Amino acid sequence: MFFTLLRNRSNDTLAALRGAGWAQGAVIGAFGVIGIGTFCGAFVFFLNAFHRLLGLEFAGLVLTRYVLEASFAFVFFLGVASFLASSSYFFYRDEELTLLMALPIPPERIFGYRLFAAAAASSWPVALLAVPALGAYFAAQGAVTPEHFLFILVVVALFTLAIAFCGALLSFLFAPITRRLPAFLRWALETATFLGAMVLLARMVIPRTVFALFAVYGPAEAAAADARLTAMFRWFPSSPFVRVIMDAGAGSGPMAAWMIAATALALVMLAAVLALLARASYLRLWQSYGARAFIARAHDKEGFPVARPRSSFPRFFRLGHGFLLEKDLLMLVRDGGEMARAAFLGGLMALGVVGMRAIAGTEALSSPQLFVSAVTFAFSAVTYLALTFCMRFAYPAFSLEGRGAWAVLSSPVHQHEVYSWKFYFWALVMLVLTLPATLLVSMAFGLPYALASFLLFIMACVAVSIVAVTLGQGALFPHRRLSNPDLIATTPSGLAATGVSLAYLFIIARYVSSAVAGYLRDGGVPERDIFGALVVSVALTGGYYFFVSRRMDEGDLAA
Amino acid sequence: MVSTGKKEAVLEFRGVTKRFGDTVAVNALRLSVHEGEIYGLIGPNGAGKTTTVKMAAGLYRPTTGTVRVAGIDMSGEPTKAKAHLGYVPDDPSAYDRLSGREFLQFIGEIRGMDRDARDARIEALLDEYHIRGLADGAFGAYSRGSKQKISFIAALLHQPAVLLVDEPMVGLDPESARITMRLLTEYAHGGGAVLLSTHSLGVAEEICHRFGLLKEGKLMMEGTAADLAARAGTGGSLEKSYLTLTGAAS
Repeated sequence: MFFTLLRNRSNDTLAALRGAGWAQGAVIGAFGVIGIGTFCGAFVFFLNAFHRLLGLEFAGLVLTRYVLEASFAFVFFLGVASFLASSSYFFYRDEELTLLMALPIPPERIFGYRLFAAAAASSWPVALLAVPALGAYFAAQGAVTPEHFLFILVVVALFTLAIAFCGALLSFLFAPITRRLPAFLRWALETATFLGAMVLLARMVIPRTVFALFAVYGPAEAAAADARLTAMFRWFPSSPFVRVIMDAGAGSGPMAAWMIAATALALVMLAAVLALLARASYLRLWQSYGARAFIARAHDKEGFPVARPRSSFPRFFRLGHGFLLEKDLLMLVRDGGEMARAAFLGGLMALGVVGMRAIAGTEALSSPQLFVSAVTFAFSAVTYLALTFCMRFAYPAFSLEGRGAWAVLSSPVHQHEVYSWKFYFWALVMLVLTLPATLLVSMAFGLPYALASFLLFIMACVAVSIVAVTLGQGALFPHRRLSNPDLIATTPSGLAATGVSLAYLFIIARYVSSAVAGYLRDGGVPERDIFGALVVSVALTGGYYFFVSRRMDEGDLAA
Repeated sequence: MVSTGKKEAVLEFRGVTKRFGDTVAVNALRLSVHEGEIYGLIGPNGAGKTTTVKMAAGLYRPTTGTVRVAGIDMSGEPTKAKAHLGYVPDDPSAYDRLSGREFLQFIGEIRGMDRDARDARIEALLDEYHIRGLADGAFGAYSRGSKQKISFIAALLHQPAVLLVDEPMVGLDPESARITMRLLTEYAHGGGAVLLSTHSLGVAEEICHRFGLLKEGKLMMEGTAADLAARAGTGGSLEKSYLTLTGAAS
């Protein structure tokens, strides 16, 4: 049964991959290239590091162990966090579960099957970091026999299982709390837990002073440092794996084999605990996740006091077609999940600005060239995040308009009016998001008034232009049969919107770089940069706006 | 149901063909619905009923031919034509985060209704279905039947000349189905024209004046229930005629 389900799932995935259009294929290919690049880069990095470290007479092994301990702890943390983030989908929300739960399959088997899928999905940190580190360590030790490859395979499999089992155990603990939370609170809680754990991890594994731990000039200091490492990582489930790896690398094969057997036994016991938990509570938890109240009462009960109508719609934008904007506003602010995603992207932007503040404070920026590059990079980072935001929210706005958009499309309103009001709405949102970020960037770098004003002006142009491009592309090629905004964004027209926007952002970055350099050189922002950026932005915005407005009322409106 | 007699046609399909790539969904369709008439569009799945209704609603543009609503060409002047329409889709889901009342007010706004008149009309129609109590709940939290009722109210809100209804009875309890049938009949008595696409042949037989039988995009025949029965040679219910004429009986 387990393998039938698994085979069915993998066939489904393969069919979806085969059926993906060229745009989605390109996105998958790009991620594949990035993954392979990251793997190779990590391998080369670790190989160089281990070659150098192992060449040190006394400190070599201690420092190598520290690198492996810290890397594996980080991978373990990322893996468990990734598992937890996806667990509610894999264990409770995936639609396949509705079918499976109705079949005469014991819930613990369904749980096992889903655990396998969740483990595979959250194994990316193992594949991208742990495997290259492990391979590099053995390569640096000169241990590249088939037995060592087999050993790496076994350790990686056990480590992946350890991550999955710990994640599953935590998800069982969290499920009774999180299942009742609205989406935005769950997101907020998960993000806060992730960031808190990240800070805690950094505090635990990064020594305050390097000399306190690694001032190793002889065997006695090496042993003491090793003991400190043992104390530092003793609470990390990744630590036994590192000890096994170190033993195997140092040639202690039998000891490593014993430790692997002990680790495997511990995992079997953990699996048994999970199976018991799943048998006792998985079905009940799944049912409580799926149970949702909906309003189905057909009639007002006689004598039952009818609630007075709440406030009238529209409340704020009562002139012209302002109600179209108010409708979009209400749809966004009342959607906790979407607001949480927007806040996440806004938080990333804020995090980026804080990082830029740190860069701006360094002495390295005393060189004008580096200063120009840093300001341009900071500005471009904000524009890139703004594009990400637009692709996630503005681009799918037409595709997701009121489930098929029948209410608007069958009404006597010109479609270019709908486009215009959506354009105003998203342009406003993007201005609210990007202008304060640009102001903070300017303050972080201590930019003079004229240069800061220039950046704010250009950012306003960028915000409006990428809304025009992304919203326009989404309006011209709506995908009303798709409901997932990420899938909508990876359609050919979505990729085209990304491509056009990136090309535009590249041109704008050139103008910004030139303007900052010009200011440092001459004490003023060159006019050609102001006009150049303005002309490109106006041409792009105007072109899209008028082209889309003209095309909106032609052809089929519904997909 | 007896015919209402010849009145002015307010919805006309003039040689309408709709192609999706190589697939012909509707083929050279000619039909008209008159003032005070409920016209039942029946046919098996994939016959082209929903495509026909969507072309009438202005959601699809005919590949060839014209659709005219109250004498206005839907392709030429869609905004003017849509002002005369009310539309109840096969899937009544809309804006999940608006309340039912807000959704109705939104429809009133988009149709340019006076706000006081709009609110009075909303309350009156909510009372028809006895659902004032659920109107302030989120649309996304409604059952299918509740969404269907709200969509029906949205279509009737501005008292259109033509009502397009795609599968109106799905998800409705028997009492609400009765109310819907009564509202449709009253609407037609008041001079409105209804194009009703449905598989509920019992309901259609009870309220429709004429029928059009679509199969593979073509209008196979049209007429009253008696005409269909005579053509089928069954002399029985609409369902029997339908099964015989579509070949499903064999």
